[in-house]
Amino acid sequence: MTNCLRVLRAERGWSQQELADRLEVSRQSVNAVETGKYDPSLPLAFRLARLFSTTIEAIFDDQP
Amino acid sequence: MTTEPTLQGNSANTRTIRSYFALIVVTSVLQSGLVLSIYRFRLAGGITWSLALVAISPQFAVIRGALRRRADESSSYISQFYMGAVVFAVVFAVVMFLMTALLVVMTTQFVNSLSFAALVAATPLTLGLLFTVFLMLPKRMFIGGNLGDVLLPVRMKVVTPALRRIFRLTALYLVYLLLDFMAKGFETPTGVFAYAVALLPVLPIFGLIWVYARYMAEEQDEFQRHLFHQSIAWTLLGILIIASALGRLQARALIFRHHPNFFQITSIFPLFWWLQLEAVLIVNAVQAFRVQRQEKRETRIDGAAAR
Repeated sequence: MTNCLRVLRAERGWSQQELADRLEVSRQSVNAVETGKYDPSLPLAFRLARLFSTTIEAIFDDQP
Repeated sequence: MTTEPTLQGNSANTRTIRSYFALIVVTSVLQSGLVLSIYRFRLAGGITWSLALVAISPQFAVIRGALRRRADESSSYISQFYMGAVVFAVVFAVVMFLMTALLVVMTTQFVNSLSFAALVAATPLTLGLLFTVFLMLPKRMFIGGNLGDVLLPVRMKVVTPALRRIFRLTALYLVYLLLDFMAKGFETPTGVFAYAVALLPVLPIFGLIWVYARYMAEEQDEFQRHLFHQSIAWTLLGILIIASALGRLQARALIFRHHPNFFQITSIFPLFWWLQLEAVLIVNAVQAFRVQRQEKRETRIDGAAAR
């Protein structure tokens, strides 16, 4: 699964730590999701979408 | 009010402290190896104290390293840190000396002393592994001004509160192992009491299940939970393979011929406990290292783009 988290984060000028703090998860979690090593659960995906004021589909893409 | 000067940005200090931790990692591996060799080769007898001295000899390098760095240090905070490190290293060396001596004496007197050997060998190794985590997280270190902070100067922020609780409980388990070992020295009880004493070592297994269940319920970070599940699965598989292979060899009387109870659950259990916790620490350390590396790369790219 690919995602555009890095771009969304960069647009807002947030570091991985800042995003992690906003999501109330560890920095490793943000890193793992961002690099595609870990697919988040639905609740976390919704939190991400709400935080960036967009939809889950706009952030994540299941096409390789 | 006590200020807590951060080491971040002070690259000279960070480098020196990192090299000191690297020294601790190397010596702890060496120390564990020596303890295991003493146990494995059943070295004992009149040379007990010399062997115990050999086992703690790598510790002298740590003490010398801390003293040398302290002499070169101008900052009083870092100097205090090294003084605390020396005190800790000396106390640790004395404890290891006594434990190794006990292990040497024990191998001649008791049949099943694997739990204790595992405990003695695992102690420096675990400390070394903890320091490995600190090594990976130089930016997360900060040193406090009071004695309490000097003796425990490094905080590990990557480990979540729920995981930290498990490490605290592990310390309690060490005490239990020591008591369990000491109980072996007493006369075997009879009657109902004998059953109770025999089953006592099984209690921590229930404790472990409770602690893990609590961790899984309390851990808010789903990725950390995922890593924890993975480490449990891999460690269980590893232990299963080790126990099966050794059990087969023992069944064919190829190893431990004179120790029929060598691989009972009370011996395997501490092994599982340690391996699992260390797996969690290593995975955490590797993750933290990756995050740092990626951040550095991003900073470089952003810097180049700005230019």
